[in-house]
Amino acid sequence: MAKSPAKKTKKSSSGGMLAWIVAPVLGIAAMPTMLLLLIGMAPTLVAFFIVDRHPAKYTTRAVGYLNFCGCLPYAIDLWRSGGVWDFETLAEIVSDPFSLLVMYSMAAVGWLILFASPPVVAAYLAVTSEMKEKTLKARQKELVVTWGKNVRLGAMGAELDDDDDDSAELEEQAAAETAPSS
Amino acid sequence: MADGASAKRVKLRDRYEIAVDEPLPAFDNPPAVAYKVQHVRDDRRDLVGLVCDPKMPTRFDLIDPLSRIDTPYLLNIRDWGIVDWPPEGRRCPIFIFERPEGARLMSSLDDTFEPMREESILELVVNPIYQVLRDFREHHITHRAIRPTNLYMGGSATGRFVLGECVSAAPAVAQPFAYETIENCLSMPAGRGPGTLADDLYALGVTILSLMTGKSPCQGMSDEEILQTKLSKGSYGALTQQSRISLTVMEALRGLLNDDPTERWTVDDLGLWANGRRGSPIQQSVEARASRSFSFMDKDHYTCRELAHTMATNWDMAVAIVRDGTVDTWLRRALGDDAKVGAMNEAKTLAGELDTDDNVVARSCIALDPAAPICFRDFRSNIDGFANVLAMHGESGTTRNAFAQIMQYNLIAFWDECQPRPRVDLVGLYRDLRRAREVLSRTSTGEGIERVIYDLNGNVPCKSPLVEAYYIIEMDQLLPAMELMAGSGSGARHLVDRHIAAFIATHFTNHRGNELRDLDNQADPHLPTLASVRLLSLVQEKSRRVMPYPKLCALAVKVLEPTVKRFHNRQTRKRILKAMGDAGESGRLLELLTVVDNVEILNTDERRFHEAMREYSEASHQLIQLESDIHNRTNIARELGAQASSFVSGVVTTIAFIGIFAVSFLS
Repeated sequence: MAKSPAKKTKKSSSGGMLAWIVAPVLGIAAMPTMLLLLIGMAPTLVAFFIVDRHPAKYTTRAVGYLNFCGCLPYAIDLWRSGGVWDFETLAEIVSDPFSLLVMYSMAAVGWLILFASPPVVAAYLAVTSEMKEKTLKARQKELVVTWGKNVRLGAMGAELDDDDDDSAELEEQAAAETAPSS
Repeated sequence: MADGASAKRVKLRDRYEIAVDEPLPAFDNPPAVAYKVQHVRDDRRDLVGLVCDPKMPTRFDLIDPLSRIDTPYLLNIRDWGIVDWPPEGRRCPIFIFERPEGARLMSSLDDTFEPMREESILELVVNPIYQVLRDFREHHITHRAIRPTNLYMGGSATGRFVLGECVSAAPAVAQPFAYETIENCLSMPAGRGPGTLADDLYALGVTILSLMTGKSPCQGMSDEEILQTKLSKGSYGALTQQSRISLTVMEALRGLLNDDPTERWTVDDLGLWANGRRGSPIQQSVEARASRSFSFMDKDHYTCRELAHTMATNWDMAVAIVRDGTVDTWLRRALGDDAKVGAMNEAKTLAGELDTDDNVVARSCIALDPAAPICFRDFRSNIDGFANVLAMHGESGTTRNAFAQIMQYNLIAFWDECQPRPRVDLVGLYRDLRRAREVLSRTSTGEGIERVIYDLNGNVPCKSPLVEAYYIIEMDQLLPAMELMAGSGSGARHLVDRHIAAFIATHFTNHRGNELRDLDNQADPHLPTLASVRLLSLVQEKSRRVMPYPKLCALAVKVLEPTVKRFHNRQTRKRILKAMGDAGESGRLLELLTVVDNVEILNTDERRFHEAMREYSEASHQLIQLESDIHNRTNIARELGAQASSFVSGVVTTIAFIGIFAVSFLS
């Protein structure tokens, strides 16, 4: 158990080191692609460096996935146009407003999903928690009916009542439950 | 139990019929009341039944020795039993006797009759009673009810008198003052005890005097006057007074009425006299008289016994004369009795918390008059009368406290030390009383004063309010009586009270377990109820013949109903209650206990209850979490929304990837 954090740190540091080696190699090997992504995924970079403070970087992911999806057709065009050092095609793409619109629109869709999710989730949570509350309360009531009010006292850590005849209490509860419906 | 006056005939063991509507007052022997009795198979037998006072101890211990005495001069028991007695509305002991042929000599001590001649007294009274007393001596028992009102004139055959019965009441409890020795007069009636044959011989002496004079001695005098006269003049002088007595009878009276029991005539002396041997009358032993009186409570005292009696009757005033040493000075200067001075000094030499006024006065009374009963405030009893006093007055707090104090101050040991001769005959009694002292100090159920009463009196009926009316003197009678009690709708809410527990503790020694201890268990409120049923169940199972008691079981079911609360599960409770009802119908308390006190079911129920508590607790925590989530729902929704949106983006991206690659590379 005590070994796992150290192991994790070691793994992440080795991964980071690998990134520092691979990234420059890729940057040199595929410079136009890198530049395309740098320009096309600007919204993602903004989200990563400015907006997203969450350690899990959910905002960055939501925006970044779709933003990358918007950049991908142009990156393919770049690769298919001639080679990894084709700066001419890169210039055409970045100078075309439509291509920029496509890339940034996809990032906007990501933002849209991000803004739309919490209300939906909140509504979902409200419904499920209400159902869960009802289920739990029904089970507790069932336990009291089966084991008497002492099960409640015992669960609360209170002293058990020697005279735990709770029929009157149960009748009261039943009356209280039937009152609103009538 | 028989209902009121409706039953005119009460049967005793299908052998005798007691006619409730035919009392025979001529044969009453207070407190016992006489009724006509008919033998079912032999109606020629003329029988009398003496119905005893159920509140008073009866001398059942004499039944066995009396059954071995066969003499025509004693009204002996033909049979006995305990019957439902309609006039009392309860069960009472009854003794059956052959009806005496002649009438009672005196129906009341205030009566007078024609004085009898000396020869007649010898032949018709002394000789028969001598024979009876000889038999009593052989069986080590005493009569303690010899008096003219308990003498029946002889029948036509011999004309010899018949001595009345002696079993229907506590020993000497109904004896008039004149017929009792000074020591017994100083005691409360209940505390006179069985005594010795010397007491019977004294009573016979007074009876002979009555027959000589045609009236009971000291007629018209109060008890206190009789006692004072006896104290000042001695018994012989006090009783004979101006009566003219022949020398022959004087010899017997001086012997029989001697106030020193060691010098009093024995049965053999009486026999010799009755058979014609004549001697010179012995001198009355007179207690040493002081040269000058000791004045206390406006009265002059010349003897230690007089002073001790006045001190005992003026308890609170007596401590002053003891503590200031005036009694010692009087003993030394006026009486010159060094032994008494020494005894008084010892009586006053007390350490620490034992040095109380009550203790000092009690010990001083003993030192001054060692032959007198032990006195402690209003409690005055001979050592062998303690048991009867407790049986008759044990319920009184005053008596109980006095007895406890006597035991605490160890007055019995001091009394024994002061006796001029060792009382070997009382060794067994000392041992019982020492044990009683220990038992008295215990407060738990089955101990205390109730236990002492039954330990010291083997024949005292159980005094529990639940079963008192059924007159239980043996263990085998307890459960049948409780069955009747349960059937009578008494509404009892418990089965074993302190008296029943003490009765069982005394009479059921060998078979008991921890039930008595559990009766006082405070930790579990249901344990005492269960222990009470378990105790009765043991009695039922260990009885000679195991009988079913369905009504008692039904009552036990009612009493045990609250104990189902030991089970937590409501369904289990219902099931146990139903099973209890079924088990109750069997009449076996053990079956009932098997249902209600099943350890396996109890343990399972307890385990499942704990699981249920844990489940309830977890549910509560979840509900609290839900409540907390409601307040944090915005944050949670944002967090979860972010997660969800990243997921949705991921899914959409994956689909788009596939689409883009498909379009780009497949077209």
